[in-house]
Order: sequence, then C-alpha cells, then structure tokens
Amino acid sequence: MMGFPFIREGYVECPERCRFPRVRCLVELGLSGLMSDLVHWQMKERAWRCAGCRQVSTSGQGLRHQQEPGRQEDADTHPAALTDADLMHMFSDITKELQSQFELYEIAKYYFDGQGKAVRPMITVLMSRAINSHLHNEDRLFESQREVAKVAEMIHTASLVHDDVLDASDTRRGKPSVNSLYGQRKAVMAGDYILSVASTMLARIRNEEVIVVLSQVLADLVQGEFMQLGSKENENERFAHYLKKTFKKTASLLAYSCKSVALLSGADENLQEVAFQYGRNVGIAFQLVDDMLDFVASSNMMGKPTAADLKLGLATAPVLFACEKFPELNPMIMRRFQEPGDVQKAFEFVHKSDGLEQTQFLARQHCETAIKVISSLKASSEQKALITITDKVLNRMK
Amino acid sequence: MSVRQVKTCGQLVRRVVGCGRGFSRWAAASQLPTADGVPPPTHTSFRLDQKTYSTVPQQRPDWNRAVSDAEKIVGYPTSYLTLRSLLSDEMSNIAVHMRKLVGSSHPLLKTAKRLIYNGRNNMQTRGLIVLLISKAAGHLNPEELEQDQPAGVSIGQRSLAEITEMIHTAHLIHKGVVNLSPTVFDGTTLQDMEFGNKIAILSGDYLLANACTGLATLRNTMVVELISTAISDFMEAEFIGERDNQGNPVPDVTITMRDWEEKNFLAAGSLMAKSCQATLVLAGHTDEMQRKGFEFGKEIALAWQAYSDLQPFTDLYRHPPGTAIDLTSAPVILHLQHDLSILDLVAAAGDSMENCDFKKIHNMIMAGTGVEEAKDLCQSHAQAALNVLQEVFEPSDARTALENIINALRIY
Repeated sequence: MMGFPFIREGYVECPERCRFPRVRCLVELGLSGLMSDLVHWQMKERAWRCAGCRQVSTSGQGLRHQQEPGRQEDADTHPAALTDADLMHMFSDITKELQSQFELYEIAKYYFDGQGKAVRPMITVLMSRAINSHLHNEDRLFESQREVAKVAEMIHTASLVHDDVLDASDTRRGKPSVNSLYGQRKAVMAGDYILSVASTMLARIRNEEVIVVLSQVLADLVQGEFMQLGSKENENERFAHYLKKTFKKTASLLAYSCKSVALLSGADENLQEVAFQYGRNVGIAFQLVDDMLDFVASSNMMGKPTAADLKLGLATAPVLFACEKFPELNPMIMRRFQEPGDVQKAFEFVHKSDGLEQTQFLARQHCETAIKVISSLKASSEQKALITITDKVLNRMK
Repeated sequence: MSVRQVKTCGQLVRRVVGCGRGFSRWAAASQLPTADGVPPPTHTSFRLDQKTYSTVPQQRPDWNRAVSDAEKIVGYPTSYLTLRSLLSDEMSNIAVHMRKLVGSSHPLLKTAKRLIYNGRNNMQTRGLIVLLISKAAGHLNPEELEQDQPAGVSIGQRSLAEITEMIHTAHLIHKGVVNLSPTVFDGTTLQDMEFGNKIAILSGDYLLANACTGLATLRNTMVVELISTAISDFMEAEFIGERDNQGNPVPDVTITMRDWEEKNFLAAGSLMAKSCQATLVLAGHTDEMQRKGFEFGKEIALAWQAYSDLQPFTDLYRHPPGTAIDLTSAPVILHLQHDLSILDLVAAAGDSMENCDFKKIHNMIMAGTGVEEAKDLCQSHAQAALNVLQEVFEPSDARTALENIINALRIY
C-alpha cells in the first residue's frame, strides 16, 4: 500500500465497482466522490486505523507519526488530509445558516449533505493557508477565509439548483433533483434563498472589497447562462466564445474565491493576481475535463447522465475540436443537435476524431500554468497540495 | 451599443409585448398599484345581465397626483429599464427570446407588459418612497453629498432606491415561474411554459445579480446585510402556509390575522422596511433613527398590502365578482373569523384554487363584516405610518409628499 494511513482494513471496495485495482482506486481518485465518501465515512466513524500497525486513533492527526520515513511528503500534501478538519463542519455550519420555515429548510439543505465533491471549498481553504504561510509564515486559517469557502460552496449550489430547472434535469449527484421532487417554482425560490443567505454571510465578513469581488461571480454566472443560450455563427469565434463561457460559468467562482482569501490575508495586487490565475486555470481545466467525461464516463460513475451536453444542444470542447476533422459537425452545431440522429452522430464523430485528446491536452496546459503560477509562493504543505490537486483534476473519473 | 441598436432594441421590446393601441384603455384608466404586483385582470366583455356595475372607471386623482408631485421633489427614480439597461446584451437577448412567448399564457408576459407600459406609476413607487425618506431625513454630513444632487439625496441612496425596485421586480418575475406538470398542460403548451420558465429564471437572476453588484458598489456591509436578509425574508414568505399545486395560498381553519401580518411582513414589509433603514444607514443616521425608518417602511407596506387586498371588494369595475382573489387576503381572513363556510367552497375546489367559485365567495364576503374590518386595518396601518413620520421627521416637502401618498391609501 502507498503508506496511506486513512484506510481501514477491509474497506477497500470501490463503491463504484470500477475496474482499477483496489489500491489505485482509493488513492488515484483524489477529488472524486470516492475520496469524499472515504473522508465522509471517516468523519462519521471518527476512528482511523493505520493499515500497517492496525492501531486505532480517534483524532484525525494522530496517525501522522505512523508514516514510514520518506512517505511524509505524500500524506502531508494530500489535499483531503490537509483540509478535512476545516471542512468537516462546513456542511453542518451551512445547514445551520439556512434555518427557516419548514419546507424551505428541507429544500435548501438538500444538496448540503456532504455528497458533493466540495472542490471549491477545499481549494479555497488550501489557498488561504498557502497564502498565509507565504505572507505571515503561519498556516492558520482565518475565520473570514473559512466563511468565504462556505459562501463559495453555497453560491455554487444555488447555481446548480437553478441550472437543474433550466436544463430540466431529473437527477443530480445520484439522487433526484430538487425540481423533480418539489416542482420548478419552489426550486427557483430555494435557489434564490440560498443565494441570499450566502450574501448575508458575505456581508458579515465586513470586508467591502471581498463583497465587490464575489458579487462579480454572480453577474458572471448569469452571463455565462445567457452565453449558453446563444451560439456564434463564425467558427473561429466559437472556441473563444466557449472559453469565455467556461470562465464565467465555472472558473469565475474559483478564481474570485482564491482572490478573496488572498485579499483577506493582506496580499498585494501581485499576490492576488497569483491566486486569481491559479483559480482561473484550475477552474477551466476542471470544466474541460468535465466536458470530456461527458463523452467517456458511464452513467453510474457520475451522478448525472452522459452525452447530456449534446442533448442540451451544447457544443463543448471535444466537439469543437472534432469539427476540424469532421466539418459535417458545423451545421449540426448551428441547429444545436435538434434533428433526430444528430446526437448519436456527433457522439461518434467525437470519438473517431482526436477531439478528446486535444481537450485533455488543453486541460493539461491550463494545469501547468496553474502550477507555474502557484510555484511562486513559498513552499508549504498547502502549496504542494495545490499542485497535487491539479493532477487530480486531470485524472479524475467523476 | 450604437443609437441605431438602441432604437432597434426598444422597437423589438415593444413589438414583443404588443403594440400600444390595445393598451391605451388600460393605461388611461389611472389605477392604483397592487402591492404584490399582481395586475388587476383585464376583462374584455361584460356579461349583459350584470347591470349593476358602473362602466365609468373610478378616478384616483389623489394617488397619481401624490406620486407625480413626489417625483418632482426627488426626481424620477432612475429606471433600470431605461437606456443603460436596454443597452445590455442580456436584455436584448431576453427580448429576442420573449418574442417566442407571445401568444402563450405564461405569467412572464403579463409581468413584462406591466413593466414596460406602467413603469411610471405602478412599479417605481417603492424606489420613490426610499428616495422621499432619504430626503426627509436629510444627510448628517451635508459636505459629503456629491455635487449636482439638488434633491438632497446622495448617489448611493439613489442607487439603493433603484436596487430596491430591481429586487422587487426580480421577485415578481421569479414568482411567475410555473410548475410544469404534464397533467395540467398538454404538449405545445408545456413547451411554451418550459421556455417561459427559462426566460423568467434568467431574467430574474440577471436582475438579482445586478442588484448584488450594485449593493457591493455602495461599500457598506451593513446595507448589504440588510437587503440580503430582506431577500431571504420574502423567499421564506413563499413557503408559509398551505399551497395548491401552482403555489396559490390556501386558507385553513386555524388562519388568523396574525398569520396575515407575519406573512405580509415577510413578503412585502421586509423589503420596504429594510430599504428605508438602509438608506438611513447610508446617510449616517443613528440607530434610533434607523429603527424609526424601519417602522415607517413596515407600516406603509402593510397599509399598501391591506389596500390592495381590499381592491376586489371596493373596485368592482376592475374586479367583477368571479375573478380570482387571494384567499388569504385580509377581508377573507377577517370574514373567516366569524364564518367558516367559505372553507367548504375551498375544499370543493380540490387541487387548484383556480376551480373555486369566486363569485359566491365574493358575495359572501361582501355580505359580511370582512370588508369593513379590512378597511379599519388599512386605516390603522396608514395612521401608524403617519405617526412615525410626524414624530420623527422635520416638516419638509418630502415629508408632505409622503403624507399625501399615505393619505391616498385611505380613500376607497
């Protein structure tokens, strides 16, 4: 085993029953649902057993000393390990803030059950500590920065709730979507409610700059949705349009959250830019991999069905790349794959072309930019973890 | 955007919501705004046997005069529906998509028509009240006021008034989202409704996002907190009480005026109260003053709500019996305190309140004391608002304008 202290012996079956050997399965799927399931399970059990010496520890940190020498680095830079103490209470904190009249509370806290990947809060917390280490030589997490992590997750969830109504999705994260359970009206109201609570929490940080930065995210999210409604006729403009939309819909939240925590740490403009660029590049890479997974993953790995983008009429990176080899895709894109057989044909074209490889390559380029940018920070466990995360973003299976 | 694009945008919007001719009758009949923004239903034909109704639209000179006088004092509240907003890509995007909704019965179309055609009197009143309160209270630091602000209202306060209106509109638009159930809507109607929902959600989100960025620009975290909690409040209000399958409220045996007040405070009062408080925060007033501003906003909002609840029973020209009424409005609840028989009619309607026999309900309530008691309620809230005004604010033209507006709410 790779010196991984967080595995309880016997719990090695991948819940997804994936075909990877069990060790790789547990370690490689860094940001996947499996890892967060694992962390979640451990949080519930509150007991950690070292796979080597079988000693049980009731505190999260206690097993570090069990590490074999030379493995120290692995465990110390593991993103989940470094952040789970902070994030452990995050979901329950959020649900406390959402307290309200009966049904609204049920709906609002529906997605905050810990089943999500919690990528954004994880990155936000890591960035906070990395910047704090860089500037102040201590990796303490400020309360305000933890609030930003929570707000980021809430904004993300609120946008998911609205997106599900817009796309008429029936499932999300492996369970029925809010709109399929409660109807469209209540879903929209609940999304607005989550947003308003997030906004209140943001105000309570009492930092005007941060509010300016994060409210830009809201404007970007809506603009991204609008951009998705329309399509560009000119093929050359299409890719630029796609990248801009990707920034607004996905990377914007990550980029501005990173920038906010840098602000709260007292960073100057250059350092804020470092944080921003890291978040932006990781966010774009994340979305590119997401778009790629839509073509390769099977339904039971993700929490949502696949070829979903094509069915919604969206031309994502793999399709846009495939156009170079198969120009027949162009009219299909213009009519948003509405004609019968379009979705199937486009799917096949993408697989026949090198669209997926090109997408992966582009994602890797963005990750490399992110790594380059974050390397300008002083070395710390969190800074290394931020580098590790880019790897996990690229290689995730869901 | 060029001038030509602006003109095209405006033309497109007008073409989408219908040409002006058909609505001149509507616009000419000066009507009092309903507090929750539900437009009074237009009817195109009278049944010949209904001879008792007057065909002359009732004049409401006091409200309109009060509002237009007030606008002269603080300036026309800048409408986000003016050039700046029509210039944005999103709005022209919305207009293009709205075109597809024409002919459908999605509530969004009605809301849009009201916004474009009745912008002056109906929809801007909340912002106007915020501006008037700002002026009446004055700015504690007159040197801080920017130049060219003759009305004594700072740019931040003006922005806040606009934001209040934006949030209110976003809420109205989101309330127009329809539950899509295949049992209620058939094939093409379902598609129309789905599309209408999309536009409604996106427009509402766009307005909310703009409101949030606008709030952030004010650089005052207290104001952001106040307005965000107001938004949480009126979202909560949507979930209070029993609802039918389209979200219409349903009364039950236990309902009281306490419920009415709680629900309407959250739904209408909170935004008004907190905006008034927020504008006083921006001017640097004391906590005590802010509390009074809050109270004023709350009382005027409740008076306004009681007024609009009364309309189906006092304005029979625009609300002939048989048109749908909110069954948790003040006159209905007050009637239920004496006589529960309406609940039988409610139960008979089943899943959707639209099936109710509204004509019968209307007659029952007119025959009882509900209407008179609701009028008393309206008077008491209006009086409370006046008391706060006169107790706290120095006499000024802004204060008089507010008094006139409140007094217009006491005339039926």
